[in-house]
Amino acid sequence: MHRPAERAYLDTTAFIAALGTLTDADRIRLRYRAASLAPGTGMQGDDLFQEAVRRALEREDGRRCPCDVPVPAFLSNVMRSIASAEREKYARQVSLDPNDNDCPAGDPHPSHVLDSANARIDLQRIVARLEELFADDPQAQAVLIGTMENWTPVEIRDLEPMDDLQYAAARRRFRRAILNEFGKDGKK
Amino acid sequence: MNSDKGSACRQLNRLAQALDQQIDTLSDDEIIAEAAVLHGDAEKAARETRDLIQGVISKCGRRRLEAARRAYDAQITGARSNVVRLPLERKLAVIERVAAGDFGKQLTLAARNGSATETDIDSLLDDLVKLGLIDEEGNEP
Repeated sequence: MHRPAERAYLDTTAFIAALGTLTDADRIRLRYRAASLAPGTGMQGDDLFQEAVRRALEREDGRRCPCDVPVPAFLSNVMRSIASAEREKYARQVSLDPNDNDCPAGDPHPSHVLDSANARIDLQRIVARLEELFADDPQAQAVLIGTMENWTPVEIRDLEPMDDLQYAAARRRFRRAILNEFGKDGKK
Repeated sequence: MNSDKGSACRQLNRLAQALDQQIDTLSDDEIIAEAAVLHGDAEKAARETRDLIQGVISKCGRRRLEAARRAYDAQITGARSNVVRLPLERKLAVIERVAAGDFGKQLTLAARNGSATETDIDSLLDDLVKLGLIDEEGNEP
């Protein structure tokens, strides 16, 4: 009887070497994916990206890159896993703040609605701040709201009438605004 | 989980998933073009991203090195004789007792007047154990 072959994994040296072979497009795509996944994690995209690389290098939580999985795919999964776990963590936190549902105006940065004293972020405030981010762009705001509510493109365009070109442009503006807002630490 | 918070979490999860999929649909050329728009210069974006990766690799390397040093230090400390764990006065008493025999008086004087550090004393005690002049606890064998 044949035993199934054990799965082989990249060791640290091989993983670092594989990181070195990534193309510019691979690296930038990973970085933009991190920015896409960052809302609600308490991290900026660049921090999430670096955290994923760190956990992979240090094999935290048994994370090892299988030899037969491309490094960008592996790192993408690590980032998705971290982001999802962080959002769940913040969603489960029991608020001690009686004004928890308030959404005071004037937060300096929508990704950093972070109560540093309690290491707590309020996901509802992030959603509200995201909507504010597109206050001057109703088409992109419709894409945001529709995306968060899992609407179809038809339903989104019912909310804010757009032809195909306008819809594609609104999606692009929406994506770029989020990447810009949640990517780098601090504003350019 | 508070239902409002759960709802916000689901909304943000959907947002992340949709954007994640959008990133997948972009070709390499489109990603580079996006970087030119967002960063003003695709080359700069690529350089910054390489630096982000290199920064983590360097930090992890330093941490591994420090961990190796700590492990080495712990090994060295663990390999030392029990006698070095005695209070300083008792260590000096052990040395005096041994030196009262065939050992020179200079070491005793140096240890007594403070010109020898405790590290020097520990090394000397380790040597005395190895020479069989005292046992692990500092007693005569």
